[in-house]
Amino acid sequence: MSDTIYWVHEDALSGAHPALDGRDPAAPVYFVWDDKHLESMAYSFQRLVFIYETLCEMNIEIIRGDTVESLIALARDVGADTICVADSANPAIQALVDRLQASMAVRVVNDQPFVALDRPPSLRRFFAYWKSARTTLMRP
Amino acid sequence: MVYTGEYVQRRSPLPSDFADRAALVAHVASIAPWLTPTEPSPFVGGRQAAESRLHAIRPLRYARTRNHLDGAVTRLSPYIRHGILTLAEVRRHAIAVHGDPERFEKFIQELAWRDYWQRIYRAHPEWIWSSVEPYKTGWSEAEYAHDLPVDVAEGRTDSACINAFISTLTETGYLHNHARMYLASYIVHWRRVSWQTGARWMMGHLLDGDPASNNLSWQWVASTFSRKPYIFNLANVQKYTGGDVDTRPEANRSLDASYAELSERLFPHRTGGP
Repeated sequence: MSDTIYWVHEDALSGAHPALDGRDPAAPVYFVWDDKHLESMAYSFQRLVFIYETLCEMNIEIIRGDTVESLIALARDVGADTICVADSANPAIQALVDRLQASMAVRVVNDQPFVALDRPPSLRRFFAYWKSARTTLMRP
Repeated sequence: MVYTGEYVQRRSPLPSDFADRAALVAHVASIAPWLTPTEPSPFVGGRQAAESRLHAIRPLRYARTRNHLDGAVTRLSPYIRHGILTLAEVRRHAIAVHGDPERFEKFIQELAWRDYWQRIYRAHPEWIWSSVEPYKTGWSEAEYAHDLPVDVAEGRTDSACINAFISTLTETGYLHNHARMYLASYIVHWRRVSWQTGARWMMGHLLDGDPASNNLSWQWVASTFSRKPYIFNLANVQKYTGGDVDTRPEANRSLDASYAELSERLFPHRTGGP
């Protein structure tokens, strides 16, 4: 029995992501092969092979179905009340998280930032961002 | 098929152990019925393959040769795009193994580009499919076509080197960044096709295709996210490609001109600036 199940999506295919790192080794981790979602993302066949190859190395369960319905059913199966997932900038993944949150507690975990900045940089041009990020990034 | 909770409970997980790559590819074909199967990419997924590539990076040579199509690029992008490697991890590895980053600032900067695009993705998701700024080409948004020309999709354009880039993209799911820029520029500026059309097509082939990195780079080329359109000419392609690409002038007539001539030909209504 675990109170949390872990959902891996295609934007964070790593067991080292803080969403998964340090979890109870017995806790279930799932990738949902969601035809509708994958088709809507217009991934190529080659990309799906690449993703699947990665999943095969991750020692997680790959379930085929609708993401939200599958995860809710899987959580119920094991008596979990929370789904833990890596954050994503992709609005389609965020929409799936929103749908899950209508039924369950969802813990969305951010990865360590590439560079922590005191103030949000101007994003209008790269070099304004680089100017504020450079000192930290170029530190050995 | 509708998957209900009960259906899922009865289902067993999909297999994750295959005799060989061909068996895995056949399995993926069976669970992706909306796609026509192709040969797999030379890029193999997974953490092991990612680590092999990470250990092979040469950041100092990268800093010197990255613009050349046969330069020391890392080909880590599919792994970074899908979170198999993180930018922080790649930076830490590069510094731990190759020393002071001042010696390979361009390498660190390229990692920073990806971080920059991702920040935009979160802060301004509306920029991903809409022009951030107007085109600075003298053409209005309405004058760009929304259908990809068939000869582009099939790699049968009037330019041999463009066809070679299209073929690499569609066959391997990967293209050197400089070739992506040539291809994007050709599609938007030579063929006057909207950057969204080109971006959607390219992302549909790339293993590392990411809406932020891909689309905002297309906007940079198009001039809707930069001060001026990015164009190139045949001499530039000749400078940066190895012998594998056909860059003979007779096979690339539309690219074989000076920047001034091309600018006048491609942007006859443009005012202000070179």
